[in-house]
Order: sequence, then structure tokens, then C-alpha cells
Amino acid sequence: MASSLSPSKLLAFLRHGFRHASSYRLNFVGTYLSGVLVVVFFAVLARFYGNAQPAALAPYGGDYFTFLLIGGVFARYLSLGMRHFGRELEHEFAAGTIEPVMVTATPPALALLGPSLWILLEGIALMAVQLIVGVFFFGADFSRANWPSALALAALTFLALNSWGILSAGFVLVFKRADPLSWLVDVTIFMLAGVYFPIQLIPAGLRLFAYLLPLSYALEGLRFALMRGDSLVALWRYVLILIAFNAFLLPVGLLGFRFALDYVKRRGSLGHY
Amino acid sequence: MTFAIQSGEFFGLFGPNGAGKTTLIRVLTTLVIPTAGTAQIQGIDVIRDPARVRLLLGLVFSNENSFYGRLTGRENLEYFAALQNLSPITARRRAGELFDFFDLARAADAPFQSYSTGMRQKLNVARALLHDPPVIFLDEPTKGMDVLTAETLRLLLRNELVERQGKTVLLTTHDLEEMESLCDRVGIIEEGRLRAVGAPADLIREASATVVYRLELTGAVNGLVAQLAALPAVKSVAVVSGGESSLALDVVLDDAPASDAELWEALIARKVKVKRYGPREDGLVTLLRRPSLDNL
Repeated sequence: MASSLSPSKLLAFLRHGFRHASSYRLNFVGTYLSGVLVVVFFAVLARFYGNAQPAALAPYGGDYFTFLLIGGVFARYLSLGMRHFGRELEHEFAAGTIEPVMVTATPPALALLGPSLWILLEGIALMAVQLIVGVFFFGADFSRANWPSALALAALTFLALNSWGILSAGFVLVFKRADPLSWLVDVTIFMLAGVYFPIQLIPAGLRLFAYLLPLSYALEGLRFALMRGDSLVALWRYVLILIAFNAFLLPVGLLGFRFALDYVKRRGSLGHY
Repeated sequence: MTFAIQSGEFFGLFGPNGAGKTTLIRVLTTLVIPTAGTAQIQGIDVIRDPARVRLLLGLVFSNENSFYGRLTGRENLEYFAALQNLSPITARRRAGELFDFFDLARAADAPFQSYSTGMRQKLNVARALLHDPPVIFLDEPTKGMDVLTAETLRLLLRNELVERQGKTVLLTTHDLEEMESLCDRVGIIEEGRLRAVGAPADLIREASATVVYRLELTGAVNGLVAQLAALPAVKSVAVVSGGESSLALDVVLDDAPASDAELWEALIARKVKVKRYGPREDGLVTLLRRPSLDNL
């Protein structure tokens, strides 16, 4: 798959995604506008709690707004990895373009998953806008941030969640629309992974589930890297856990997708929608 | 079914809905993995080596909407060209050539969703030709087109693809006229089985020789069935409906249309009134009722 991803094809995927996304002009603008409004919402929420700074925030060494901003912005981006492959496949099904892309010289998996690359790039742009707005307009504090550590953790989490996303796309191939894994995304992000509050505040029974999710480790590690300036050495436990998640999810995702593709080709249901 | 198509041949598959034409094309274009059997394109096995097979083929889909509706025709073609491993410069040049060739240049920068049916099908063919493949599959390429646009496209397909570029083409169609005007040879299939293979003219001649005539008669029809069945030119007579003074028959002639004079003479001699006299169905359709070639 990787050997067929030439620079010109990568550019073609990105250009195609941009053209498609920007053809819905209102939606295109709305994505950035809502991204900024989310930052405003975090600022209002943090102001509402004033300077109380609950004890649970103490380990992160920062204010609640920065805590919220990191959680909200990174969780949104990283969770894209879980959903965007499946969503793009649904668009291809609706357009009737699944079969035309499958008879090209591009390997089927790359032809089906490649068009999602734009969403990931756009997600990075939106994340940058949100962080910049947070810093310059609402005083988010990244003065102690260790960005290389944060990027490494984000990359590991991104890979793990994209592996999940590829498995999820396999479900879309077989079931066409119903992605039985997508409901997990919102639940896990907003309740269990510690987007709005530290995991330690979750009741003990649920906390167990929180620690089964890669995003929980990612957000905690990212906050330690960005709010306290922890190095990768200091965050070794998070790095190891995320590597372990990848070791499991990457082969499962790839094999699952391959199985799904083979299944629909044998059933002759590839183009059905 | 077993058959081979020669390089540079325009081969047609003719059959009713559900006969298996599109399924066969999907197998040959690697979109469906068959449960049994083998197939090769230019000696390459479509099941074992689908990636190499895809380099050799272009597929024109029967679904005219198989494009990104909000993108322009040019953006669509350039994207599919990139998927065919064409460089951006080559993709742009090739798309331009094809827009000119199919007389779509003025619509190249309009959104695909604004294209008419004819324009969409032309773009569909253009997409299949982007990477200049030696083998082209056409799955009902003129479906939904008006008569004139369909005829223009047929001329382009025949003159350009086969006679000028020497490509091998497999066409599926329900349209007898299209099949006769385009194809060097035709395979007639029904329920996944091959009923006949040959040049259209030969098949039509063969089919005409056993054509079924529908006769609707009034007057002195008593005993007529036995009289007609006894004629040397008549292979069989089946009563469709009948009463004392009217009769509808399906008559199979042995060597039609030459032999139908004998039938007419018998009808005139009996002085019955002929309300209808003519082939019940098109000649080639009768071939669909033949046993499979697998069983012959």
C-alpha cells in the first residue's frame, strides 16, 4: 500500500479532498467557525469555575482553560482517526464511485482510504487555529510545553486510533451505512477519556474502562507534556502503553479491512448501498 | 460458460436482465471474486493477479452517476487519472485530449451534476480511456441515451476504439441494433449460461430459420391446426387461444422466411381471415430459448 503512495498521488488525494470539502462553502467555513466557538465555550466554562482550581487539576500544574483546550482540541482531532475513513467510504458509496476507484491501478485499500487524507490535514489546520486562538485571545499557558514529546505522543495515538478507524471502515464496507463502532467514539471521548475533567474524578468502576482506551493515556500524557513540560523519558509509561495499543490495533485494523474487502468482493456486494 | 475473445475484437454479450452479463464483467474487471472457474486477460489470471489485470483494462459503467457530482468534469478526470498512476502533467494533457475528442471541452469546467445523460456517458467512456488500456469493457454504454446521441457514441466506439486504436472491447447490451452494428461476434447468455456464439449476421440467419410466427385467424378454423401441422415447412403448431370461429397459433417454421409461402397457400385455400401474421419475437431472442452450449 505504502509503495504505491507516490508524492503525486498523495497530492491528488489532498487536492481531491480540498476540492470536495470546499465545494460545500458554508460547511467549509462553518468547520472553522465552530472550532473557534468551541474555544470560546472552553474559556467561558473555565471562567465560570473561576480560580477554584480543584485539587484534581494540581498534577497538571496549570489552569482549567488550558486543561480544557488540550483535551477538547486534541480529542477532536485524534477521534477523527476513528471516524473519517468510514465517513469517506459512505460518501463514496453515495456518489457511486466505489467501483470506479476500485478498477484503477491504485491498490484497492489505498484507493478507498486515500481520499480521507484531506480530512486529517484539515484537522491539523483547525487544531492549530484553535490553539492559536486559545493562546492569543484567552491566555492558554504553554510556556512550559515540551512540543516534541507532545507530537510523539499525538503521533502514536493517531496511529492507534486510525487503526481502529480502518477496522471501522471495514464495517462500513460490509454493512454500508451502519458503523457499529461509531457510537463508542462520543461516549468514550466525552465521558471516559478525560476531555473535560481528570480521569481521577470518574467513579472507580468506570475508571477501569477509561484505562482501556488509548485516548485516556494520550490526553493525560499530552497534558503532562504541554502543561508541565515532561519529556518522553518522564512519560515512558504512556509511550509504552500507546505502543502496545498500536501493536494490537494496527494488525487487527488492517486484517479486518482486508477481510471485509475480500468478503464484499466474494459476495458481489461491493457496489451495493 | 467458456469463451475466448481475440485481441482487437469487438465482442458483444447479449441477454435479458439478470442473465449474468454485468456479473461476468465484474469478475473480469476484478470487482467480484468468483466462487469457481478461471478467467484471464492477455494471459494474466484475474483472480491470482488482479493488480496486473487492472493495468490492462478500462471499464465503462452502466451507472452514469459514478462520478463526484460537485466536482467539475475536468477535476473528476484528473483525479481518476492520478489513480491510474498518470503524472499531474500527463493527466491534465490526457483529460484535455479526451474532452476535445468527446466534444465536451465547453463543459469541462462545469460541475458533473450539471451534465446531461449523454455527456455523463461520454465522460464515463473518457475515464475508461485515460490510461490508454488495451482492453475496454462497456457495460450498456448507451443506456438512457437518446437515439442520436447513442448513435454518435456507437460510431466513436467502433471507429476509434477498435478500427483506429485496435483495442479489444467487450460490450454488454440489451439493444439488438447496437449489437449488430458494433460487434464482430456476439455471445448470447441467459441465466449465466452461453446459448450461442457467432457473428451477428450468422446468429440472426440461424435464429430466423427457426422463427416463431404468431397467427390470429377467424372464420373456418375447424381442423386447421392439424392441417397446418402436416405441412412439410412447419415444425410445430401450438394453440395459444381458440374457439369455434377464431384461433391464435404459434407456428414454428423450418426454413423461414423462405418457407412461409407454403403456410400462406394453406391459409388462402381454407379461406380464413388473417388478422395477424408475423414473427412473435425478434430472431435473436429465440436463441435465448436454446439449450446452453455447455450441454450441446
